[in-house]
Amino acid sequence: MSSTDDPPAESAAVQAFIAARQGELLAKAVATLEDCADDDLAAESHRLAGTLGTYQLTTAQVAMRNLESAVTATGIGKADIDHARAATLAAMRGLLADHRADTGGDGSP
Amino acid sequence: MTETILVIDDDADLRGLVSLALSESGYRVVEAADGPAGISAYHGHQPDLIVLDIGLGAMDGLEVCRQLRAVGTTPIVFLTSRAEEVDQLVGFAAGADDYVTKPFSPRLLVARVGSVLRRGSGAEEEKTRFEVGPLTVDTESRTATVNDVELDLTRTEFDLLTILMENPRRVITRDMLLERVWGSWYGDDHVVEVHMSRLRSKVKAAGGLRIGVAVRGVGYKLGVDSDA
Repeated sequence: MSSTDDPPAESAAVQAFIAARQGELLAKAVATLEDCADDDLAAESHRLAGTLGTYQLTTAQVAMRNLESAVTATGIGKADIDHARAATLAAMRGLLADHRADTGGDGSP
Repeated sequence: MTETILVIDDDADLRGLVSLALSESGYRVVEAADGPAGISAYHGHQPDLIVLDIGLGAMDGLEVCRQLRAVGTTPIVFLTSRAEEVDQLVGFAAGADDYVTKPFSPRLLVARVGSVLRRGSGAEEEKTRFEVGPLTVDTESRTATVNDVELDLTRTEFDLLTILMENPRRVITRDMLLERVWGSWYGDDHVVEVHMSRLRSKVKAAGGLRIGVAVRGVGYKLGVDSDA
């Protein structure tokens, strides 16, 4: 599965830059989700959604938006946050593995 | 001349992409990773436009924008993931010229930057100096001269002369003069003729020509004419 959906027409240099950085950004996003405190999860997922989307990682962007919505929902508890984080992490690790497979990487986060 | 764009964003990944897209399009790019560094870079490089992320750290983009607006008019394009209308309104209230929401296409951002720059350079500067025959008016220094001799005019006389000089071939109605010089006026309309008469006398005394020619039932025109 590719995590890149219909990229807009950028210049060749910009497109190459984006393509070269996608794997690194997915890996950074995974690391952020693993490490960040519960209190920072909404802000981090919000920020990551903007960055990943700009780098044409639309599927990852949507995953981050969904995570942000989940952890900012009314009445959510610690267990819900843990569940949302774990589900998003699994999805992001999958995207990273797919990306590395597509681009000849080793497929591990 | 290459235009300089200052990119202020604490996200190094986005900053790098924005900088590349802008430099690919021929702009010179200066980067700053936070608000204080951005303000310092603004003073050091005098950019033509600033791309400013709202969600910076301790000093957020809105505060940076306010501080930059206090010292200059360089166009600012906000970059933010806050897409809600209220945030856009806050951004514009703080002094932003345009707004791009994340995620964004670098190509779109470059287009918006170009558009804001063109808007700025194409904006006609307000004319502050008028010259008709031997008469000149400078609205910045609020001076009027006839053959380089400065006239001693009251505020009202100066304003009347300026309006006539702005529109030298046009008849200015009495109502228009009242509105622009006196604002809301409920007194005697002859106030215009009284002041115009004094203005006319002062110009004539300074060696000028007859100005403020009355157009019966309508108003006045400048009417600098040796036969007038």
